[in-house]
Amino acid sequence: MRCHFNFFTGDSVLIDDVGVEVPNIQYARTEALQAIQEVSQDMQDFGFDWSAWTLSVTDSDGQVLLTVPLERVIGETTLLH
Amino acid sequence: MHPDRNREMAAQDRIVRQHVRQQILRMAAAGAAELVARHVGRLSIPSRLRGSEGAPQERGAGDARALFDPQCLDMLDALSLAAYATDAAGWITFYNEAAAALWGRRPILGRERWCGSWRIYRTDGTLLPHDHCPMAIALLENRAIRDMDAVVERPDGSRIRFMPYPTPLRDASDALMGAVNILVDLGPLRGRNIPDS
Repeated sequence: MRCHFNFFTGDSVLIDDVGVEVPNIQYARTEALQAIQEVSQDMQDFGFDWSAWTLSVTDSDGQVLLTVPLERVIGETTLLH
Repeated sequence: MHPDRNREMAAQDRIVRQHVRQQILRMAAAGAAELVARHVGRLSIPSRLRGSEGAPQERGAGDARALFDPQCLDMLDALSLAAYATDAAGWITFYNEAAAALWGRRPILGRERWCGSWRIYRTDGTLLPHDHCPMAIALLENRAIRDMDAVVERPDGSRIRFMPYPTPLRDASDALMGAVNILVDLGPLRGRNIPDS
C-alpha cells in the first residue's frame, strides 16, 4: 500500500504528494514515529515547538489511516512499540 | 529468515524512514530557520574576524565558520538548511554545502556580493537584481528581513522557490559586522509564469 505522510497545524498544511510504499499501516506508524524521534533529537537544543503539529497518514485515495499529534511523540519512546 | 529477505526489509526501512524524515524536515525547516537566524543574530563577532574597513574580505571558510555557533552548524546540516554569511559590505565569506546545492553553483568567497545565486526572481516573475535582494536590503538597512520569498535560478535553468532569513550580525557595540542568511527551499517552481531572460 502507498502511504502519504502529511503534517498540519491550525494554519498550515504540508501535503506529501509523493508518498511511499509500506507493507501495512502499523509499519508506517512505527517508521514515522521513529523518524520524528530522530529529527526531534537533532533539534532538541533549539526549542523548536512541535506541539502545534499533527501527522496525518493517508492512503492514495486521501483516506485518513492514522492521526498522531506530534507532542505525544516527542520523548515518548513507548509509542514506538 | 533468509539473509536476502533481511536485507530487503532493511532497505525498505531506510526508504520509508528517509521519506518521512524528508517530510518532517520540510515541516521543520521554516521554523528552524527562524530559530537559527534569531540565534545567530544574537552572536557577537570575534575581533579577529574584523577586517579593514571598506575592503572585501578574502576569508577562508574555516575562519568564517566561527561566525556560527557549532550547534547552529550541526542543526543546519541536520536539516539540510542552506546558509551563508557576508561581511558588512555584502561580500560572501562563507556558505555551506546545502547553499551550494540550492544555488547550483559555488560562488568565490570574497569576490561575489549579496547572494551566491545565478539569478533571483520575485514571485511575480520579474528579475530581482542582486543588489536589491533580501540580503542586500538587510545589510543596507541594517535590519532582519522576513516574509519575502523569491525564486532562485540555477545555471542549468532550474528554478526553486525559497524563503530567505537574512539577519544582520552586530558586534558588542552594535556595529554592523556582516549578515547571515538562512535559505529555506520551498521546492521546485510549478505553474509560475516566469519569463526567460
